[in-house]
Amino acid sequence: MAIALTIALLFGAGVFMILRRGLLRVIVGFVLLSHAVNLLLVASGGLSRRDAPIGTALDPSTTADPLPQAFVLTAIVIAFAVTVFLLVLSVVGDGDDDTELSLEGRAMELPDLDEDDEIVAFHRAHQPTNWHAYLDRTDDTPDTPDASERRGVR
Amino acid sequence: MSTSILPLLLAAALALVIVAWLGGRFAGRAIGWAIATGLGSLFAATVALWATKTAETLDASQSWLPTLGLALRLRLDGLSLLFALVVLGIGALVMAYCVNYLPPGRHGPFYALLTFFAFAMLGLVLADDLILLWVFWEFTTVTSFLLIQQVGPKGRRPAIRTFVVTGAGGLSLLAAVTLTATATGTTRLTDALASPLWTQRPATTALVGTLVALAAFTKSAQFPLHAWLPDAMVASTPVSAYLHAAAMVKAGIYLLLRFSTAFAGTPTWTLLLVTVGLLTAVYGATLALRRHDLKELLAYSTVSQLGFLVATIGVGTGYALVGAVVHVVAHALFKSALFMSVGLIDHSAGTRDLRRLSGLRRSMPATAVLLSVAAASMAGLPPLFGFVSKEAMFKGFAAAPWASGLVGAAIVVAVAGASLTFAYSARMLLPLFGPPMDAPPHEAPAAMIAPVAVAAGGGVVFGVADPLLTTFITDAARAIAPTASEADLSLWHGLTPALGMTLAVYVVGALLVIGRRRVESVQGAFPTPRRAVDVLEALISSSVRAGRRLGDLTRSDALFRHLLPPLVAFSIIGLAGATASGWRLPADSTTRPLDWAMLALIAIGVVLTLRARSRVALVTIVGVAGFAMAVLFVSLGATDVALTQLLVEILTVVVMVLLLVRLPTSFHVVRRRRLRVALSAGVLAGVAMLGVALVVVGADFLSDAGRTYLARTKELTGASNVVNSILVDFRAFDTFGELVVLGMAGVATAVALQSRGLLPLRPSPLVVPDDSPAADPVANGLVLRVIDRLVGPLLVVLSLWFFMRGHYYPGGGFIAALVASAGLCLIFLAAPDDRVARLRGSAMRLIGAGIALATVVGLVGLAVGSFLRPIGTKVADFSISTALLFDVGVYLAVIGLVLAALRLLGTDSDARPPRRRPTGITVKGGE
Repeated sequence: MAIALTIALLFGAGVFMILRRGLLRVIVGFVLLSHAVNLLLVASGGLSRRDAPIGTALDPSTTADPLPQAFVLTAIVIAFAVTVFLLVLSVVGDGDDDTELSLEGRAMELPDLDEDDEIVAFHRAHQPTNWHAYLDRTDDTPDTPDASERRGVR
Repeated sequence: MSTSILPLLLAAALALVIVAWLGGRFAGRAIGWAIATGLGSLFAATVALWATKTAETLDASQSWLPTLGLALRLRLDGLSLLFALVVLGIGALVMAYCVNYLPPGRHGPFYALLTFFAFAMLGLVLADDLILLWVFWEFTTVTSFLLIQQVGPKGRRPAIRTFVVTGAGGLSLLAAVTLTATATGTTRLTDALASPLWTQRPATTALVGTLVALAAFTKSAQFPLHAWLPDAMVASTPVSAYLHAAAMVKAGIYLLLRFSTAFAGTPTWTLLLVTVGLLTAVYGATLALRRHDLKELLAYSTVSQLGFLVATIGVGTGYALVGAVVHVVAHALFKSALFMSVGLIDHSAGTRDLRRLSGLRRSMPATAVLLSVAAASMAGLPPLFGFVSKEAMFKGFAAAPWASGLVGAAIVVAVAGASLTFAYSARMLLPLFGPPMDAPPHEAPAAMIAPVAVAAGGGVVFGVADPLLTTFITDAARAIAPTASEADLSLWHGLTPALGMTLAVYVVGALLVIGRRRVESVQGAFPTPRRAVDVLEALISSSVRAGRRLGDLTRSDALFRHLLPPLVAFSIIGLAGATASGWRLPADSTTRPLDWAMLALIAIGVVLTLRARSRVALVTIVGVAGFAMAVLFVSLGATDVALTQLLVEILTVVVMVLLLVRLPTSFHVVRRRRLRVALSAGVLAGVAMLGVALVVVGADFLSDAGRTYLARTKELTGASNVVNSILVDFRAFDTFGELVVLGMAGVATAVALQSRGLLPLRPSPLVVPDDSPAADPVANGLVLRVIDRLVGPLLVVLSLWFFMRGHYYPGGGFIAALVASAGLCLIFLAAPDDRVARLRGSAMRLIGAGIALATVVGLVGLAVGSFLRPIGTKVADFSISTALLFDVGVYLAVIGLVLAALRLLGTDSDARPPRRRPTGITVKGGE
């Protein structure tokens, strides 16, 4: 039961993260998803037999099923390769790792200015609508104004 | 002999296509003569084949999928002979016409397409297999689309419209063919048509009949699907003369005739064909009477004539079928002659408008004569063939086996249509009379007139000497209805109802001609009906718009929009599956306290991950879940997996840290509503997964394969570590595939970095004063470098130790390579700048070497049976096998991948040091 709950928790969290904005969070979601599935596979061998399948004269009634373990080992390494590739994708190109074309909510670039007032004025000039909200935000995710999110329609 | 001749015939036609294409490129427009000769010889060959046949029909069959009973079957019987001769004969005439009609130059594609059309029609009429029939039908659809487009940009929309209508008909035919094949159990056309199914199951018969009729209606331009035919008149004259007079539209007629074997006499079929046909006949003729453009007039006239044909076929009796077949020949002859003559006039005078042409009987006498002959044949005047065919059709109507009221109605409508035909045929002759034009057109050259003369002359010859065609017509009719009586073609049959109808037609027609001004004013009073072309365009554009709106659902580039629907769908499917199997809450005690402890740890880690406000926080916390997973794996008895998971988690975090410096500090902001949607999706997915996990985990059994592995690994491979043995001995091929995936990831990484380039390093949010120890990178890395000197060699030894003991204890190639990679990471992270961190050796070569080594080992294994089969020996109580070499390959590949990631990601020549400010430590922006 605990294992099942763990799988469900990881999977749900993974799905939530994968639906967020920004490739890094998507990658973390992907990692959590693969954790969930790996655990599911290893646990499919049965939870009552938990001895490691190492050694001679192995007792089938207490030894874990080695086949799912072999699958999962392969899966972990392949998922690692894919994660590396995804991480590379997040840092190539231009800008940052945004996954949406909307300008709304983009993280701020810090220019090389010395005075605080200049910095603030610079940002106010370039991101008029949500910079205030961004500066004054609390721990809740702020609501952004009513601009349409769908600028990316081709 | 007959079994191989028919395919040869088709092959010859196909060869002619290639000749046409190449010849058109090199010999210019004169290749038309060669193609005409080719088609003419095929014509002669077909006649000769028929004359020397030994059996009733000629069959050929090439087995294709014997288990499914599919074969490529061809058949030459009376009906296909007739149509084949029409296609080939008119084709030869049109090709000869093309030689002088086309402008000088290269016309390879045009000739090739036209010849391909002839080939497709030939295949259609020769096909004895339902599927082959449909394939050739679609060939004609596609070829006609391409031919209409040949004319240039103005042919684009009409070609699309034609394609949409005829393509829809093709789909209808496909449905009919599929239904027939499944219902009768065979794809052989003759067998399917002769099946007793058609009399036993009226519902199926009605359905299939309607589908076939629909397909034929689209191809033969019946109302309301006729819009494409006048539209397609933008194509050049030879195309219209061939496709829209003699070939393509006749495909629908052929289909109806062929399927009459099965459907003639069924009420749905008869009703549909007769009503639609007669309606089209009158409608087309009425519209033809309003046209000023000669070619458009001919288009509507074709629609009307096809309507007559369809109605006659609908009657279905022997007489009616004879009449239909005769009219097919007559129509092909006079319509192609008419189109070609109009083309001559257009070519010489530069216009086709009735109102602007006049006095042509003086300026173009030969053309005028031919035009008159053909028009007279269309109107049905003796002694031309058109008269004979019209009489035969009227005979069919008069002898229809219906209630006398219906017969009377049909006769009246037929007479009305024929009178209108008479009227517009006369209208066509208007340009011949009147004063000569200002710039009178000159007569066309003899080479162009010749084909027209042949076609028009055919109408005369066959009209006068009817018995020439009797055998052909009878054979054709008997191919459909074996009990049909001998066709009786002559100019005089005595005082029959058909003759009466013809006389009525002359009277009414003459009245219409004489009173043509009154007719025109009456027509002008009626508003122009909504053009069918506009309706079709509206249909096309509305379906395109509907498609676009459907596509809008996932049109954006945002990952969120793409991932949400499938994730939700899979969750729902999972929920459904779990509920169907019943939610099994396990009551037993397979759960251990450690599981609960790890669940708590993972829960904490997950919650913190979800709530991370900055990238640094996210990267820091994401490893918690991974480490807890490793502990869980140990608890579940998967030690190798646990080790691998641990190491992979460490390396993932290292790679992420390397990237942090190029990404902004905090995350992008999204609306709260979007977060709520994502949260609900996550909850849904979690619940679905809970159900699935309970089902999977509840099925607690040891698989047979697992049992075998546990029992026999030691004796087969000498290994104690069963999991490792599975990876490198039993299922080495899967591991080999995994190496290839690693290679692909490495290559893809390199390509992505090379083609797009890394993001630049960002200015650090940290601002340090000059006197802080954090300002100097060399001093900063001191602790790590000292640890490296101690731990580095240890890690190398550890890696080798893990490698060698893989077969007996937890370890193996993967774990060893990952441990070594951890060492590489330490060196990387400790380097103060990039010059020191330049690690020698090419990562790609390492991966390649690993895969190559694995391949070589695998090929060696072929020597003892199969790819990657291990060969083992014993050395002093130690078993060594080629699996060890395979593991070396694995080792190299994994190290290569990590090296690729570290080298390519970590180095940057224009690194920017953190900003310095002498006035104390301040933190700007970020968290």
